Amino acid sequence: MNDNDIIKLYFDRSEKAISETSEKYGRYLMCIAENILFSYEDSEECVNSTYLKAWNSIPPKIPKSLRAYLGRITRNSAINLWKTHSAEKRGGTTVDLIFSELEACIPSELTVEENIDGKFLASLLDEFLRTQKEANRKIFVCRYWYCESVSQIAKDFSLKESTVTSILYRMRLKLKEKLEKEGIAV
Amino acid sequence: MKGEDLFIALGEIDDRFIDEAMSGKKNGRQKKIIRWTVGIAACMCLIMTGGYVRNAYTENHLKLPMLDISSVTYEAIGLGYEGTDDMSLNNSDNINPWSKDVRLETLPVYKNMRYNNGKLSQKYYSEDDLKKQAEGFAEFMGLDIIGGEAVAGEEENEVYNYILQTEQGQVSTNGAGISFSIKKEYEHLLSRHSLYSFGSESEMISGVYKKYSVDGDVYSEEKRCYCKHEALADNIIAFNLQSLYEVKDELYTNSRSRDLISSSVKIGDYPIITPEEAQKKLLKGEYASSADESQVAGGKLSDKAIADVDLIYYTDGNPELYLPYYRFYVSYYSSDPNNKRYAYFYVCAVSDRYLENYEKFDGSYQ
Repeated sequence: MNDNDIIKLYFDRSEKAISETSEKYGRYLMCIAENILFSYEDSEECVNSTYLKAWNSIPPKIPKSLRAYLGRITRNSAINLWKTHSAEKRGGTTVDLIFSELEACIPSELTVEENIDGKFLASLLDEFLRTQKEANRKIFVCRYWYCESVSQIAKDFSLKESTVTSILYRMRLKLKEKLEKEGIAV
Repeated sequence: MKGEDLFIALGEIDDRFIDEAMSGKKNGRQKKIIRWTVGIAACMCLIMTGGYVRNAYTENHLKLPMLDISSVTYEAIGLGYEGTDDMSLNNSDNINPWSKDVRLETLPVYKNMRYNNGKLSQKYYSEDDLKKQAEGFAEFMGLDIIGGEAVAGEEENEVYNYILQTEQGQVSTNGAGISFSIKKEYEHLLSRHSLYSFGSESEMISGVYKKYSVDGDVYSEEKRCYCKHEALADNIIAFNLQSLYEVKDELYTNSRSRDLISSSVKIGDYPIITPEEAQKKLLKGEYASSADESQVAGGKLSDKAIADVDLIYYTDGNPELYLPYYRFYVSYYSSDPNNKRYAYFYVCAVSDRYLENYEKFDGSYQ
């Protein structure tokens, strides 16, 4: 079933909307949640809450891309759950590693106390991604949006792990430069 | 700010990048399938025949969705049909990265999210989205905003574009790029438009395209450029879907960036036919054109009437899909014997196997 037909089921308030969503995107959403949570049960909880949030938000919301819309809900839910569960035992997970990698993109002049508007930051990230090569951009998004391991990305793109690491490193440097240029540090 | 804040902000990036990364993954997995199947096929070749590699290769593309191209329309321009003339061809640069001597196996096809049942207005971006795009551009360029308004479509939620008036000129965005009509005294700002579109580190490929009136005068001189990439397919996409145009007239310089990628989703990399195969299809009448075949030099389509061919993505008229086409330059009736004219005849470059509802255009606009 195509996305427009699934969205129509939500608008018709047909419960089939959930089963069709689950059939088409269940596996995709589980992958997103598992990359963050490393737990089948927690991921399942997250994906189920995604279906509920989609049911409650469509309508009035009409997603431009149903896949990205659902994926975003799952990612946010998984991060929230990860925060709750790992408040006492932080360190060592893929997400911790990703946080530390991204930390290196932040201009040094910027102190921890400074708050940056999230939407403004997202628009800068869009601008940054728009100017990158498609292949590199995909790798960056797989790592920092989908939280995939370097080895998984290397497999999926038929690259060596060292190549992926090096692409990500260069992109982080470019992102840092972009943030500095845009005056994020001011 | 911490790494965690950046991670959270990344969650809000454009849907397109989220979808795109997944298409990359699939491609990656398909690549592995190709290697495996080709490997098996190679082994089979040792004991059987040599035909398996080709079969294995085609099997790899079986999962690509069929492309319904019934909605593709071809708009006539200028002298009642789409085409060009000798003077424009010979006095213009050609920065199309495709040439007849290159051989490509696949090219990407995109779904245009701004498609709105054949209308130029669109629903993908709201009035507010377009306003933000125009204001973001004005801020980047350092323009002084005077005011702005959206041009609404016929139906609810439909928008053509958002027009922002600034002290330095007019900014217009329709979600497929940004047009900036700049006053002569502010022309020094033009280079910022390129910076906005492509960033500072990009190497550019540029050229000047001229158009001539029937009197032989240049009536339009358009500078066109795009960002250079390593791979040929990326350059083809940049040339067709992500380029910058600059046209000057007496009062204004119009700088127009085209970005059709931001509002589209890649469906997949489709096998394409060769220009020779496309020419055979053209001669069999499997083409689309706004020109009249009976006006072709010699009275009918023939190898002799075909002057040239290039490969482009047809993007006029807000189509449902961005597809590669071979564009044939066919000698056409001209009232001026000193300036030959060529009409464009298009043949879809995607293999027939993936096309549905491929109808010959009958020249009518009903």
